[in-house]
Amino acid sequence: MVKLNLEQAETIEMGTRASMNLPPGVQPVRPTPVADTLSKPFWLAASRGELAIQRCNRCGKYFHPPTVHCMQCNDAELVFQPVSGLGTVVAVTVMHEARVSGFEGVTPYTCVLVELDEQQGLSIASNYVGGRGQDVRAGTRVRAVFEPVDVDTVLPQFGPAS
Amino acid sequence: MTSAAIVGAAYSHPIVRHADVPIGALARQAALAAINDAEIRSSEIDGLAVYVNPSRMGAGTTDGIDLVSATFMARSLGLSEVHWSVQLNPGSFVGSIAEASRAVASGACKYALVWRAMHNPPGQFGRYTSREAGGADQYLAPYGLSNYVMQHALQYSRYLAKYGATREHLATYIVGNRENAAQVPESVFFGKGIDKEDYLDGRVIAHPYTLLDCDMPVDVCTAVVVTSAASTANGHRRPVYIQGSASLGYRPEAHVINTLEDFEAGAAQVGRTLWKNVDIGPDDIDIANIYDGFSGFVYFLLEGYGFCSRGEAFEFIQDGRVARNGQLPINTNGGSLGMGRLHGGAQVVEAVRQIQQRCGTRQVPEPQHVLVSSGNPANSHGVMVLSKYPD
Repeated sequence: MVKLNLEQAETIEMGTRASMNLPPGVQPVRPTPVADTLSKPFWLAASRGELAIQRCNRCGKYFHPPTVHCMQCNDAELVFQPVSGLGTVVAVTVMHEARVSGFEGVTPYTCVLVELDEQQGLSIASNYVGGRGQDVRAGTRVRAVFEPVDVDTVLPQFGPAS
Repeated sequence: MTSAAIVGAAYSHPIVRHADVPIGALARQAALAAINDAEIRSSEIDGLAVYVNPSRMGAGTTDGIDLVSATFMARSLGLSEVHWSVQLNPGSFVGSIAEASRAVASGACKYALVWRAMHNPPGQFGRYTSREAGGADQYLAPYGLSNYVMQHALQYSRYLAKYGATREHLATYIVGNRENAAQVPESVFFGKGIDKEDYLDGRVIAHPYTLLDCDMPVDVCTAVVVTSAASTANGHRRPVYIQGSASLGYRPEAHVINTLEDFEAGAAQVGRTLWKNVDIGPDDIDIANIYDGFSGFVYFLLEGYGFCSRGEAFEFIQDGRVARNGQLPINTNGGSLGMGRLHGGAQVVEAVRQIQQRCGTRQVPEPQHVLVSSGNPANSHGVMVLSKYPD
C-alpha cells in the first residue's frame, strides 16, 4: 500500500475537481491504478508529488510504460529518475459519454497524450486539468500536477505550463 | 505463390443489433452456410482457425456467449477428426484465414473452417467497469481513457493536426461508403443513405470521432472455408485464391497507448510484408476492402499499404477515386461502418463475392485482385490479397 504524504497533499492543486464539472457533493469512484513490479516506483513517486520515469543507467533511454530490460542496449540496470514535468500535447480527445465507470456526471472530459520534454516519443496519458478543455490542442505546452484520488493514490495529471 | 483458396463464405443471417440466440448458435449457422457455399459436407472439415478475442471492454469469457472457441465449433459441428486447429489472440479475422491458408498448403488439413463471432450484449457497448486497473489499464483507466473510441480518436485527432486534414475530407468516404451499404439487403443500413451534413453534425462520442465514425455493434458471425489450391481442381464452384498475406503489425517502441506513429509504423510493416508475399503491387488492386471499424483506419491503412504517401490519404480519397465506380473502390458493401461490427467479415465476404461475380447491382466489372484487411495496424492486424486466378 502506498501511503500518501498528507502534508504535501495540502499544497496539491485542488482545482482539478472543479475543472471536471462535478455537481456539488458528488464523488465519482474512478478506477484505481494497481501497481505491478515494474511500475511500483512510478506510483510511489506520484504519491510524493513527483513524476519519475524509468531510465536505462547505461544508455540513458527513458521508458514509459516501464520495461523489463533496456530495449536499446539490453542493460538490466534501470532506475526511476525525476523528470521536469514539462511536455507538449501531441493528441487530444474530449469524451462526451460516460463509458468508464466513475466518469458519470463529469462529461464532457478531456484526455491528452503528452510527449515529455526529456525524449522524443516518450508519451504519457492524462486528463487536462486546471484549464479549459477547449483551449488545449496538439502543441499546447503542459506541466505535471498531482491529483490525490483516495488515501492511497495520487494521479499524475497535466495542466497548462504557464 | 498461391497455394490456398477460399471456397465458401457466409455471414449469419439476419445481421441484428441483438440476436435472440447466443453467438454460438450464430456461429453454427454461419459455419453451415459457408460449408454449404463450398459444396462440401461438414464432416469434411478437418481444420479450425479462429481469432477469439471478443474485442470489447468488459467482455465475459463464456464459450458460446462471449466468444466461440475451436472446441465449441468442433462439438457444434460434430467433428470427429480435427487434424489442425489454432486460436489467435492477439490476431485478426484476416490473420486467422492466413493461418488456415498455410495449414492447408502444408497438408496439415484439407478443409479449414475459419470464423469471427461478435457479440453485442444489452446495455452500453464496451463499458469499462473494473474498480481496479492493472496491467496496461493502470495508465489509462484512472483518466477515463479505457474506451476504444477515445483511444482511436487520439490517433485520428493527431492525424488531422499533423497533416492539416479536416473532418470534411473524411466525409467523402463516409457518405460514399454509406451509399454502398444502403444497397446491401443484409446491411443494418439498407436503404438508409446519409449526406455530408448528417456526418458533420453527428453526435460526438470522443471528439473528433462521432457516431458515424464508429462501426455499429451487432450480433453476428462470419465464416469461410479454406482449402489448398490443388484441392480446387476437384471442381469447387468458384475458388477465390489467397495470393499472400501479412499479420499483426510491429512497432518498435511500447507506449501507454498506441500513437499515430505506432499505427503508421505498424501499417507500413504489414504493407511491406504483404507486397513481399504476392506477385503484384498496389496498382494491380481492383478493390480495396480496407478495415474501417473506425473511420480513420482508412487513412492509416491506405498510406501504410502504399496506395499513397504518408499524410496524403485525405486528399487521395477525394474526387470519386474510392467510390464503387472509381479507380480504387473501397468497401463496395460499406465495410464495417456500413454492414456493422463484423470485424473483417464484411471485407472478406464481399471480396469473395466480387471475385465470384455474385454482387448483382454493386458488381465491379471483372475484379482480378481484391485486398482485404481487419484489425488495428499497430499489433492486431491482418491483410491479404484475394485473386481470381491462382497465378
